Amino acid sequence: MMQNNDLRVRGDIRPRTAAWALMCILLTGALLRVLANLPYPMGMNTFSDDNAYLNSAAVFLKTGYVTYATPDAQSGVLGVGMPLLLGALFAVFGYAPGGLMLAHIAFSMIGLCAAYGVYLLGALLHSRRAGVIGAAILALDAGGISAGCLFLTETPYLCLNLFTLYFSLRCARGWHLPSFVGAVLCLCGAMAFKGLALLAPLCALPLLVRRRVPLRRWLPRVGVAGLMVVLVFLPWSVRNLQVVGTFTPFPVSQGDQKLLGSYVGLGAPAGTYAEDVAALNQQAWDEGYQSDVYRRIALRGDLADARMAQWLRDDPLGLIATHSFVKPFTLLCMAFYPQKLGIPARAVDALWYALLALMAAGLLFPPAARLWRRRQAARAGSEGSTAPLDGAHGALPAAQGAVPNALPPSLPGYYLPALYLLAAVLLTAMYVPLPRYNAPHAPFVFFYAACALADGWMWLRRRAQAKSRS
Amino acid sequence: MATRERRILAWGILLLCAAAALGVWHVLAKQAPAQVAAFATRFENFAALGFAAPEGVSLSAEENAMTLTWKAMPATDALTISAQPIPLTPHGADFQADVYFGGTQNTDGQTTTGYQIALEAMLTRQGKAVATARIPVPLSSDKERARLYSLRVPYAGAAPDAATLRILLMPMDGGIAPGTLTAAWLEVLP
Repeated sequence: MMQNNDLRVRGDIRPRTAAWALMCILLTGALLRVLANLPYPMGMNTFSDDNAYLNSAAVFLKTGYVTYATPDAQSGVLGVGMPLLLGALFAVFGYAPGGLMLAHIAFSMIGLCAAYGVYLLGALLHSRRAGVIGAAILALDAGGISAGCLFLTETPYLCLNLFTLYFSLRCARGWHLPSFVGAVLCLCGAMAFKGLALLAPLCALPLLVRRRVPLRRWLPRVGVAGLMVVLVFLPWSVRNLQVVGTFTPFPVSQGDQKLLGSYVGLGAPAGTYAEDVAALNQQAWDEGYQSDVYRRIALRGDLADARMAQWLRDDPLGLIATHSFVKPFTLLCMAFYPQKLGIPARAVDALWYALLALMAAGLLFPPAARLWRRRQAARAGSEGSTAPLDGAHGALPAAQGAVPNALPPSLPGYYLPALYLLAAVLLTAMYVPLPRYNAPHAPFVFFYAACALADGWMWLRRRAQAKSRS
Repeated sequence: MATRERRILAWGILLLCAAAALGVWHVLAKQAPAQVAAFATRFENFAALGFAAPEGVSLSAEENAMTLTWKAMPATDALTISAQPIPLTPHGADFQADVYFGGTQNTDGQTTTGYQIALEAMLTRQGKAVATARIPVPLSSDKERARLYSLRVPYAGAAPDAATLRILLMPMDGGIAPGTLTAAWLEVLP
C-alpha cells in the first residue's frame, strides 16, 4: 500500500490499521451496493442517458458499431468509454435480466474503487487517517451508491479521473515510472468518458514548477504521455472522422449543452430553451435536414454562441458574475442522488452541505495552523515552543525530525486537488449546472472534508494530551 | 530517466503504434459501405412477420416497430399476439431475440398493476418444438420510453430451423387495464 513518504505525520494511524480499516470500508461499501441493486430485477434504469448507454453497449457487443439514440445508426454524441466498458460487462454477464443485474452490481463496484483512490490521495497529500476517512465517506455516500447503480459515465469517469490526478501528483513529487504509466492509462480511460479528464494531469504542473524541476527533464515525459494518448485515441478519432466528419476523440454534442446554459444566470438574454429548440426543429423540417443530427446540434451551438455574444453586449457584468460565481457555486452545491434508496433526498442534500463546509475547513486549516504556529514561535522567541502541533499541518518532515522550534511545513501538492476542483467546476459550469455534472467532483470534496476531520481529531487528541500533562 | 525506463517507454510506444495501426485498419474496414448497410438492415421486419392480434387488441405494424393498444377488459386467460415462424440458420447453442419494448407503465420496479406482459419464443425443428423460453416485460418508464429486452433460448441436440415469437398479455385481478405496448428493432441472433 502506497503511503506518504515525505512527511511523518505525528499521531497518524499505522499502515496495518489503515489496511484493515480500508478493507472493512470496502466490504461495507460493496454490501451496500449489492443491497441497493437487489430490488431491481433488471437493474436500475431512469430511461435517460443510462438507458441509451445500455442499448449502445448491447449493440456494440453484437455488431462492433457505436450507436446511441437508435440501434441502426452510428453516433458521434458519446465517447467510446461506455460502449467498451458496458460491452465488456455484458460479454461476461450478458444483458438478459439476470445478467443485467450482475452487470449493474459490477458497474457500481467501479464507483467503490474510487474509495481506494481517495485513500491513496489522502495518504499521499495529508495522512493515512484522512485517506481512511475520505474512503469511508465515499463508500457510504448515498448519492454515490445511487449514481453508481445506474449506467452513467460519471461513475467510471470519477474513478479514473481521481487515479489520474493521484498518479500525476505522485509523479510530480518525484519521478516514478509505474506512476507515470498509471497516470497515462487512467487518463486514457477517463478521456474515453469525458474530455475534461485532460485537466487532471495539468493540475500537477504547478508542483513541478514549485519544485523547480527543469523543463528539459519533464517536457519530454509530457511529450511521451501526449504521444501515448494520441496513439490510443487514433482509431476512435478516425472513426469519428468517418462517421461525423470531424477528426476528434471527443463527442460532438456540446452544442445543446451550451445552448441550455445560455438561459441560466444573471442578465441572460430573453427566451426559453423550449421555444428556441422548437424553432430550430421547425427550421430543420422546413429545410429538409431533420435527420442530420450533427447539423442540428451545430446549429444549437451557433445559437448558443450568438446568445452569449448578446449577453456579453447587454450585461457583461452579469455574464462574468454568472460564469465566475453563480453557476460554479450552484453546481458545487448540487448533490447528485438520481434514484432514491430509502434515504430522503433532503438528508442527502444536508449531508452534502455539511461536507462542503468541512471541505472549506480542510482548505483553511493549513494556513490557519501555519499562522498560529508562527505567532506561537514569535511569542516563544528563542526559547522554543512546546505547544502541541496541530494536525498534519503541524507535522515535521522526516528529515528534520522533531525539531521543536521549526515552523510547520507545507504539504506539497495539498492544494492541487482544490485547484483541479476549481478549474473543473468553472469549466463544467460554462454549461448548465446540473447535479449530475457535479458527481465527478465529489471525491475531491470528500478528500478535503476528510482532511478537516482528521485534523480536527488530531487537534482534539493533542489538546486532551496537553491538558492531562498539565 | 534511466536507460531501462527509456527502453520500456520506447517499447510501449512501439506497441501502441502497432495497436493504433491495427485499430485504424479495423475502423476503416468496419466503415466499408457493405458492412454498414448490413449493420443498418439487420432487424426483422414487423410488418412482414405477420403478428396477429386477438379480439380487443388493435395492432399496427411498420418495418421497425409495432404498436399494440387495448382497452380495459375482463379476462382470466392470457391474450396471445403471435408471429409467423422465423426461419433460422443456427450456428451456436443459443437462440437470442433482442427487442425494445416501451408502453404504458405497469410497474414501479417492485409491484406490477393492471396487466403483465411477457415475451415468449418457441424453437422448432420440422414443426416440432425443440425448446421454449419466456421473459417478463415489466414497463417501468412513466414516459413510455423503450428499453432493451433480451430473450435467450438455449437448446441441446438437433438445431432448430425456425423460431416463433409471441407476446403475452396477461390479466391481473380478473381483468386487463387499458394500455399500449410498442415493440421496436427486433433482432434475432441464431
